[in-house]
Amino acid sequence: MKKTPLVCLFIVIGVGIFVLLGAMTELYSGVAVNDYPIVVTDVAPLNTLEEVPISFYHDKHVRALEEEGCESCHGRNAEGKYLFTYPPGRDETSRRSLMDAYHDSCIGCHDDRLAAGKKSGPVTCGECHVPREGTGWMQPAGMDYAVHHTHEVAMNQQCDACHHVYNEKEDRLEYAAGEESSCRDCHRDVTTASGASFREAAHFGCVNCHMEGQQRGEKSGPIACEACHGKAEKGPVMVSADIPRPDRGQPETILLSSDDATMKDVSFNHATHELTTNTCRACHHETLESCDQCHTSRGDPAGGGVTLVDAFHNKTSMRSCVGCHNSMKEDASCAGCHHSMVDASMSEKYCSTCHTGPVEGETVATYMNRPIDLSAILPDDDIIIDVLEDQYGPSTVPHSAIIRNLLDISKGNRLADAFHGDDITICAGCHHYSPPEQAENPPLCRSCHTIDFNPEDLGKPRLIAAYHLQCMGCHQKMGLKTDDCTSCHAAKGDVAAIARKEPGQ
Amino acid sequence: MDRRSFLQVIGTAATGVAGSLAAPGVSRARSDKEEKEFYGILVDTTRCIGCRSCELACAEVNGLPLPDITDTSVLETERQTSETQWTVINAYETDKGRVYVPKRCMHCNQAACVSACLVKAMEKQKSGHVTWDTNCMGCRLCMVSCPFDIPKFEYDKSLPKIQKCTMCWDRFKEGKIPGCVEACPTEALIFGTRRELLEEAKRRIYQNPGTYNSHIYGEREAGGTSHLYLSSVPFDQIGFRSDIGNTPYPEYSKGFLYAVPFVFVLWPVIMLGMNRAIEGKEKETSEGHE
Repeated sequence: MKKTPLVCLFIVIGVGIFVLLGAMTELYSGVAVNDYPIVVTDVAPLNTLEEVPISFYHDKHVRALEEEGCESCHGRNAEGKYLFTYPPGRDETSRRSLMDAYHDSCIGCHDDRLAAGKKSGPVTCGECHVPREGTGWMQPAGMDYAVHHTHEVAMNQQCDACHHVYNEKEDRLEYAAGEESSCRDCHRDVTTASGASFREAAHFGCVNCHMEGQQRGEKSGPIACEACHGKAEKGPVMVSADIPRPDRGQPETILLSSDDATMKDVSFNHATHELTTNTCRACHHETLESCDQCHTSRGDPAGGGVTLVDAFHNKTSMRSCVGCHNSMKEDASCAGCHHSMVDASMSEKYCSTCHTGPVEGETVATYMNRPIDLSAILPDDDIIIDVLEDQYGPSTVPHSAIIRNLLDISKGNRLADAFHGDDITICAGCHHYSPPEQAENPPLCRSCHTIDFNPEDLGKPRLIAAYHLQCMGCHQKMGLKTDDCTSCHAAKGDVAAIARKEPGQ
Repeated sequence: MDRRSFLQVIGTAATGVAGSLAAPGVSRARSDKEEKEFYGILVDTTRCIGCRSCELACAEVNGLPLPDITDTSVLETERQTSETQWTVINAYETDKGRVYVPKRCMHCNQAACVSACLVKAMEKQKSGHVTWDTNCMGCRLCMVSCPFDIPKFEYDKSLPKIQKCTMCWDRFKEGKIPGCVEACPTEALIFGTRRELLEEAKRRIYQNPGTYNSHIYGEREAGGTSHLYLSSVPFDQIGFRSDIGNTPYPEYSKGFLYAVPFVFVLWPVIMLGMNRAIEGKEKETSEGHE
């Protein structure tokens, strides 16, 4: 016991040294670094590489070339801003020219430094062209509502600091108020007449601005790779007082209509849908134009041949209304009921949920219809399932508790409020295929599901399977416990012993 | 009427009576399909909960040693079927979480074991069941030929048998469904004609495209099998061989085997003919020399 204070002292000293070393490393390096490699992929003319792509340690180079500065690799334009085309003498006319440009630049520098007796990098093929661990960290960088708002505040609402359009006549960039678009609208995957590639434009614009800010000693953005590329895109950002909706003069509500439409117009609440996305691009592609600009009723090449109807109703695209709404059913709180449901599309009620015609005010709440008071028809008692009682005892279903729980989940959700229509819809989660007019008194499970296996109706499980599939399916989808038989029905004594009974007994 | 045909008539009548008494539904459905279509079992691995009820039921109906199904530790390692366990459940960790897979005889449409058997002890019944009979001579060619490694030999018995799942052939003759199908609490196993099972499997895939991998294992593998499998993940993740190909295994040896009789019959004839043709000349030359 005497040793205890001594041990404590050692621990404290150890921790102290550790912290100090950590702090020194941070100070010494100047910029935050990581040693994760970047895979060089912007080698399009070399579309088939003979060698393994390079895994490039950017931040290692930053540290090694701290004295020489960024100019060692990055060129600068007339205004002194860094260029992000690498190598500076990049020549994409042929495979050979691009390969030579890279090799001359990298190996040339390494050779020079070796000759000068400085710390240098590899000069042979196999030292660079090797697969390396840890290349998967890099995520596409993007500007969600929160990051955009940070920039709005930092730039003091000066949109022209970043947003510009290209004036072709005068060959210069200028700001056009109210026409702000996504960067990717002009800056596409590769450099074209409409602008530099997004990769180049984003690095040129963002990193130069951040660096200049840092040099002026102002509070500025990061320049290390992982600050922007290090984390996956976040989930939906709820627009709150801290993060107001990005204002581009968009209306709160829009009446979606078309001259060719046979259905009623859709009263679309743009503001509430902003709450469920984290970028404008999530729905608008890169253009931020209204949907019917490109998606015409007959389909137009500008819209990828996708017609206006398909643009709104495609079941698999996350940019279409139906596709995005459908994907919401996979959420754990929804999938319990929805996983086993037959697709409800094409029913009259389904269409009329959105196709309401002009609606005043809050679109969802206006046509919410809750005529049925479930408390009147809810049996308060638990339901006991004992029809198949054999090796296990009866199973108790807390019927009203389940329904109340499902109602609580459903009522907090705007989408569910709109599509569930009324509370009785909740019942269909288990009582599937029940006729609507029977909603208040649905048929029993065993009215349809026979006790014995029916080889003539292979699609309909027998009663024991129906119970297990329905109960356990929902529990699994909602992330509830399913691994123990006795959590639903108590074993009658030793199950193994009962199971071991001789056949025929 | 000789003894053989008499027994046949009695047997058929008894089977018919037993069948209609035991399970009217099955036998009614069966009457017009029997001897025209293969039966099979559709295994939906997305429904299997790994309870091992099928293992117990299999042991019960076939008189095998009863396993302790409350012991889930056996799922930790991948198991093979054995002479005393004709069906086993294995657990696999996949992209979509844990998947349980019952493993047993696939009952191939054109079974390699049946074609390999020299004495017709292995037999493909008209109803699709691949069964074993006691006239086996113990050569174990069926074990070597099976692409799924299913037939197992009783090495420790003085009168060893080949043991494997028979898709409850004896119960089928009584008009009952296989024991494992009857015992499955989630209907991960269903029994029916192969055609109806394929329809049902495809219906499930079409209606739940997000749930199922759109491949039915056994639809074409090794020329098609009576056991069909549905899965949510690619089948190589749950212990299935993907290198089996769609050619029925007997096809590989058919050409050679059919050629053998011709070789045995024609080769001596050709050689004899040549011998005869040359014989005279040889005599002449030898006589000429002398």
